[in-house]
Amino acid sequence: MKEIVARNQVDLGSARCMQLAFSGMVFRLFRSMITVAILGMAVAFLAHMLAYTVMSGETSRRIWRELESERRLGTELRRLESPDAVAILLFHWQRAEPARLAEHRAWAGLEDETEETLKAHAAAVRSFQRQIDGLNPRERAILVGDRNALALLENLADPSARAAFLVRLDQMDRPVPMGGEAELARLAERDWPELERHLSAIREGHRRAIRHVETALEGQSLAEALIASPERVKQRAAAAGFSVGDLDFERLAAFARDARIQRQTEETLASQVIRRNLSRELNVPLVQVHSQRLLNWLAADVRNAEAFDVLLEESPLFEPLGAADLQRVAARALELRRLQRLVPEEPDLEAAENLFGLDNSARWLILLAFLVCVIGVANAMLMSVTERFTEIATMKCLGAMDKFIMLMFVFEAGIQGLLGGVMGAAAGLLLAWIRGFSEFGGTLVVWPVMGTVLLSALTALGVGILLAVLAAVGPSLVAARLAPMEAMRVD
Amino acid sequence: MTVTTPETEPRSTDRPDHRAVIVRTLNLEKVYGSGDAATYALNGVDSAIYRGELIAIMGPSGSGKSTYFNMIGALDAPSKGRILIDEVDVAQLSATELAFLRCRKIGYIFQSYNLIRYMTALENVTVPMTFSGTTPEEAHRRGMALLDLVGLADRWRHRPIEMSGGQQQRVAIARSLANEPQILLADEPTANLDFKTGEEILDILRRINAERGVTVICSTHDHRLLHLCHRIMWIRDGKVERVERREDLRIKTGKIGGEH
Ligand SMILES: Nc1ncnc2c1ncn2[C@@H]1O[C@H](COP(=O)(O)OP(=O)(O)OP(=O)(O)O)[C@@H](O)[C@H]1O
Ligand SMILES: [Mg+2]
Repeated sequence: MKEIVARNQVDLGSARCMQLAFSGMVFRLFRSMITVAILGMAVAFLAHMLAYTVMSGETSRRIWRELESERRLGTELRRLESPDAVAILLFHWQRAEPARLAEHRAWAGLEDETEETLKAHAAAVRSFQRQIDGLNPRERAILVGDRNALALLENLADPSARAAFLVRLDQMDRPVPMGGEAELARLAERDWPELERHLSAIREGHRRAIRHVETALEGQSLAEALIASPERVKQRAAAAGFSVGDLDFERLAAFARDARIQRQTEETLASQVIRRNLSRELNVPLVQVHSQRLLNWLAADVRNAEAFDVLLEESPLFEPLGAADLQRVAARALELRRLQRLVPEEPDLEAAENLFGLDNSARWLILLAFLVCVIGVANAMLMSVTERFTEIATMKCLGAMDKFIMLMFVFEAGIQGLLGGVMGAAAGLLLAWIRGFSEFGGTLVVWPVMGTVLLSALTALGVGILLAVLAAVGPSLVAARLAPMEAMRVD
Repeated sequence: MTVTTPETEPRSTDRPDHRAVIVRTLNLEKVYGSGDAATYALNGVDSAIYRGELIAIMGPSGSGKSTYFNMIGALDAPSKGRILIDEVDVAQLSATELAFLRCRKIGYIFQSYNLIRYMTALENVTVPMTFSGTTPEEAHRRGMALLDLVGLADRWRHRPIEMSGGQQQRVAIARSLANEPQILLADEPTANLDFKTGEEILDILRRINAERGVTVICSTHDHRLLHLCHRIMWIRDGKVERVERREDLRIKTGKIGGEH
């Protein structure tokens, strides 16, 4: 009768694994804490990068939109006073902006077919411009001189000039713009002149429309008229063929007034008397009295009153305004300058559609953060598993099954990942907030996408846990598969 | 020290059953490394160990005793040859069957104790019971009884670092008996101990063999074991040099018995 029969070992419940994993961790509290800390740092880094990208992206886009709407007010105001330049008209045609095209149609009486042809011509001119702009500076200097692309195009209408141009191109081994000589000739001799003729007609129409509005204002300046009654100016402009559609004339009026105040203050500073008085009253050297400084004084509470008094004394222009008005305008101007410095270039507006609002450069950073996370976590878990090969071997000698050992480490990694992940995600968010705060200023930081911010923190947390578990599975699988004594020898 | 009597009648162990072979090795080889660096830790070991005997494995350091232990304990795979435990070829066992074997049938006492550092004495003793699916209450009861057997009942809360080498060794012995194994493998259980503690450990091993009928395989440099064992297996350079019965040994040398 056999006493030792081959039989299967019992399967242990996961509760027991968890218990063992936990008591092991408590015992190695210091090592566990280091592992948790490493995990936490990796997760914090990732959470920080994600949350900061979300936040700064959204804030930049907000700022950009505000600057844009400010710029647009400036453009609209200018358009009511002077006609658009040809280059700008061309730009509108290339973009085929509906509001502008509607105006052009009204002013120049364009027909539908002409419109299509003009669009096509504008596209062709744009591609010509692009090719010329794509030249390197040396080639450009030789081929184009100091003209811009449009002037060059005008010049190329002359066959002899064009021939010379083509010869130079050939010497440089450069392709002919527009794909061929015939195409280039057609653009320069026929399409561009035709387009330009129409654009001139549009400009003429624009000029008439401006005069129309002017006469209706009965001698008032546009700014004055706007401040007096935005609604009346809006009606006049609409009657003259301007597309006023969604434009808020109340805002436009406020903008016009602020712009006038700014202009006035700057003009006032041209007077040496005023500068000297300001310098004396505010007790600053004369050289330091310039418009930026004045804005600062006006915007700040301390010197606002004094500066205003000087201005008022010397220039009746400020009579109708109060010190508070001036302060507001100055503050706004300063704010806009600050915003411009913060977001000097157009952010990737389409990125808002992506998860976390990541643009391309942010994506690389996140990838990098992710890699750091992977390496940090893998290293931490690898260490915490390898230093316990003897323990694994002992347990195997005592009858532990591979599955049990795996589970134990997975639990341990999971708990550590959770602990480190939660702390790391919290720290990452906090850091992102502090960074955003110091970069953009408190009032400006946008956390509108709280959901996305939380999502990014949760993602970092999930990534941390998952990585911890995956990184623990590898080495512990190796350890569990080895014969006990082989595992014992790995040390 | 009180000894808990097992439920079943202890088998007579003064006369080990010489016909029932519990462990058999056939042309066992273990090579460490390969090529020029290859070391033959075991080089063709044929051996048979009988049920219920206490056998001492002796040999100089590096002769392959620990390697032999690891082989017959199914803790490492041989390079060549077969190991039969109760006539079952170990190589044919699946992973879970091996786990069963290590857990229930064999108890191990390692040269370096290999206690789990973060567990108390009692927890260390009950680990194998956990693996065999014993309920916590039952494990606690039996674990305390085993600690009592080795004289450490009052130290059950202590962790390995809080205990002396001899105490750790005794915890290891208690642990090796956790699931009432039929084979006890002890690798130099007295190597790091003082004379008196060594004596105690050897006494425990003898009693386990005598009272419980456990087959004890014990490697040692300790000549006191020669008084207690039934047979001695001499190993040298990875080969079995000779196997002797204690009676023959006494007749031959006469002197060893009176050495201490
Ligand atoms: N992991 C290993 N890699 C290479 N050689 C090894 C390994 N383990 C043991 N050996 C070699 O195998 C031989 C037998 O070693 P083993 O540990 O079995 O000796 P031992 O008889 O137990 O010695 P001791 O009495 O010192 O414990 C030795 O020559 C040793 O150098
Ligand atoms: Mg040894």
